[in-house]
Amino acid sequence: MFVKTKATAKETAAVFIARQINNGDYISLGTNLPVPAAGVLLAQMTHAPDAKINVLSYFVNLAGIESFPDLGQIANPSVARWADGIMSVEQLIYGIRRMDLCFTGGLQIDQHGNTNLIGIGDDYNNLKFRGPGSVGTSTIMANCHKFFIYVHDHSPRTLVPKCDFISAYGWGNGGADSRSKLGLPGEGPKYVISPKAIMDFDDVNKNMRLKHLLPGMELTDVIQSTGFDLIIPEHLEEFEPPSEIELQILRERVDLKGYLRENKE
Amino acid sequence: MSRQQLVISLPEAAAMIKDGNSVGIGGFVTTNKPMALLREIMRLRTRNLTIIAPPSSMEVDMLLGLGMVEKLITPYLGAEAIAPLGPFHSGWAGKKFSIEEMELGTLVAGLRAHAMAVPFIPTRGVVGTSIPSLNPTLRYVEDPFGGPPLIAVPPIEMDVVLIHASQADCYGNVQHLGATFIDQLMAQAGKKVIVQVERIVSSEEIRRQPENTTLTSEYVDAVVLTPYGAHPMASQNHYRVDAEFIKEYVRVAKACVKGQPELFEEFVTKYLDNPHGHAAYLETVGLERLFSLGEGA
Repeated sequence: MFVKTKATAKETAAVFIARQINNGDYISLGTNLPVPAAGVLLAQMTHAPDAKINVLSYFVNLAGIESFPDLGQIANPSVARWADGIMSVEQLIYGIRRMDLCFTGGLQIDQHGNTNLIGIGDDYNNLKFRGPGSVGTSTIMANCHKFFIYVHDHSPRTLVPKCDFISAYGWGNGGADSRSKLGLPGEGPKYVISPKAIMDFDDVNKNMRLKHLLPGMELTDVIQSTGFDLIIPEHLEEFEPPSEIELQILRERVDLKGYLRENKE
Repeated sequence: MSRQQLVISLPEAAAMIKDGNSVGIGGFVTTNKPMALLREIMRLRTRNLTIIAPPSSMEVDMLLGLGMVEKLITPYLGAEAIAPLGPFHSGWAGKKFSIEEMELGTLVAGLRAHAMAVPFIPTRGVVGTSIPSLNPTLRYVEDPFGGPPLIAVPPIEMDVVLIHASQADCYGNVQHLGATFIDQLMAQAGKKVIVQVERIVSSEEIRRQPENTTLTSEYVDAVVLTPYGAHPMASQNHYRVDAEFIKEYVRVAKACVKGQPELFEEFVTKYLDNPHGHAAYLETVGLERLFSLGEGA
């Protein structure tokens, strides 16, 4: 039932994530991030059968499974059927330094990769919107080797010059030494992935920089949809589009319900 | 002399929680939540509670909606992909209840500090974030070995901890038969620990695989038998989350914070106040619905 249509922006983003994953990486998957989850599953089903995937403190291996039932419900105890083992959350928290890759989202993401899950507004005791809270992102993003930020909504409301509150520290106020000065062991945010574009950070000032436009997206739209001056390189790197086999696995084994094929952000 | 049996009734368990207590809630987001215990406490409308919980969902939002909470300490409240909640995400925070801004690694450090009886545990986790400035209990502390400053997390105390698990014997030896999240740590840090279980089994059954025991009776003060007691949350190895039920709650809770409390009140009457006892609650939900949540269904 593989329908050979062009890859959507979200499918392309998932393929980008999959290609960043090395076989054997230890990856922690949070909740409500279907695009990163799809990327990790695609990597596991192709070149990374030895990736260690931690979901809800279950260490699962999905390399050999026929298909994953519901990408929107990945943090669900039903994953126990594919678990090699279970650790307590306390053990996970105290063993993060082995974690290679994690993901976080945010109500706001700023130009230096700091993220905010706490709330929107100037006054903490009178917030315009109370966010869900930091979960474990502060501790995990401080310690894991590297992390990617996923943006559900690429707009000036979400991609802001400065977060109202910071739940996970990225590059602070900028500068390549901002994390080492605080003693944060992890290498910080590497990529920011939205439904419009893939971004990374300038090596020196750690300001966010456009890396790839996703299929069907216009440069002017991405610039206008970003609430700060995104660094635009003179030559945008070409991204090799998803292969037929990558798309087939995404559609037939990873994302049966079509979360990545919806048009909405 | 025979061993002490710890099995008590739901009303006896709920009576152990007093106004003004700090109450720890085990489980994780929508899995293994001690809902039957919480429903019984909600029926009593015990007040001025401090709630301490790992990532949580509608059970804490409901406590907020019923006006039972003075202070909330949790790193996350939501229903994952289902929807944002009612009172928590509304403008009630800072007015009808206060929040002590928390993060999971920091919560673990505070609970561990209390269990170890040390004045603080240092962590790097929230360095550089807004959390130390939002939570007055946290302090920057010098690294005596010369590195950059760390955050000192003081002990987090709990009068009573409520946990949901798969099975226990009548002496309080508990087996989760799945992930334990931070239940073991909470039990070690709590003054009193009440565990609700899907089934009570024989001591021989527990001893057949003692390596499956997640809480020995040392850490348990009471056991309550509550089959389907985590509903509408998932219970590992038993049933899945009842997402439709949570959606229904979110609908009435959102209307409530928008100034239309009627539907919320109806919900509370139907599921909390009218059913007398856990079995009556399950009858209200209905067997057909409960059985449809069987694993793999």
